[in-house]
Amino acid sequence: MIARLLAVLLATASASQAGDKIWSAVILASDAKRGERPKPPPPELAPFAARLAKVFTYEQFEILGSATKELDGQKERWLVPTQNFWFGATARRQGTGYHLNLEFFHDRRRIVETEAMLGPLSPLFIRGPMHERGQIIVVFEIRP
Amino acid sequence: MNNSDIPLSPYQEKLTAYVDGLLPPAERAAFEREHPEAAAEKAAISALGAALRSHSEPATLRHGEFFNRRILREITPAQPVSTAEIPAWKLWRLVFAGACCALASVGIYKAAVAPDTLQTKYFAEVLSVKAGDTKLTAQVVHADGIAVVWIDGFEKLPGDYILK
Repeated sequence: MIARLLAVLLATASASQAGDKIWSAVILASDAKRGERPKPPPPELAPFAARLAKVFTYEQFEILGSATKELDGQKERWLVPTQNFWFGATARRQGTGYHLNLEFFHDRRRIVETEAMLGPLSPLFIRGPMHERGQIIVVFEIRP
Repeated sequence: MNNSDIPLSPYQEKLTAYVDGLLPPAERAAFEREHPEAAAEKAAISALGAALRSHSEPATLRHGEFFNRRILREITPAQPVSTAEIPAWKLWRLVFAGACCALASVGIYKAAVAPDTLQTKYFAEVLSVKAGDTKLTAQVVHADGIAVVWIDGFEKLPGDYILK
């Protein structure tokens, strides 16, 4: 009886907090056209735009597509922000953050599999392929 | 009881009006015919009045300045209250009090509520990465306070590759 109770308590503790969501987006980083000013970053990226510009050496960032899913314990969630890039995510709550297992696919090709600890509103970025228009970047974020 | 309270006889009333010159001419002529002594009496009273006016010493008013001030205070219109200044001063006090309340509210919110609801400190730690195939390499880069999984080995996507 006590063992069953402990198991239930552990399951509850490790489950996701009700209402938490995982947000993912595909971003195109590029430089502004000659004689034009860089476009302002979308609000979702604004807090990190300066750091992204420094790391990826691009001036402007636009979101090509995004997807949000509610976290639900151990269940794998599929996020399809664009028709070419999609992700499988499993999130388990640990303390104030989440233990994430992510798989990143481009069309039918598996690009990377990663395991990470993410705090809320602390995005993880993945550098994707280059395109004629600029650099593809994908982002994951836990949103309370 | 003084003399003004004693009712005058009709003769006295008429005599008073005659002396004061208030009787109409016909009535005055009738009164003079009826009372010939009244003309002499009127002349004597007029002479006495003239003598009193010309010889009596005018009464002097003591403490005239005091009365002047009192009279001036009574007749001078009251100074209008400066409505423009007082409300402005009160408004300034209200604004100041409002600003203090707002600051106190923000302080209380930040001290008591915000730490529980807003976690702004960035925390992202990559525990492991594994590239999807042998053509790709993956590594973790922590730069400028953000975590990036850096993948190399992609072929560049052509311009006609539609991103949507």
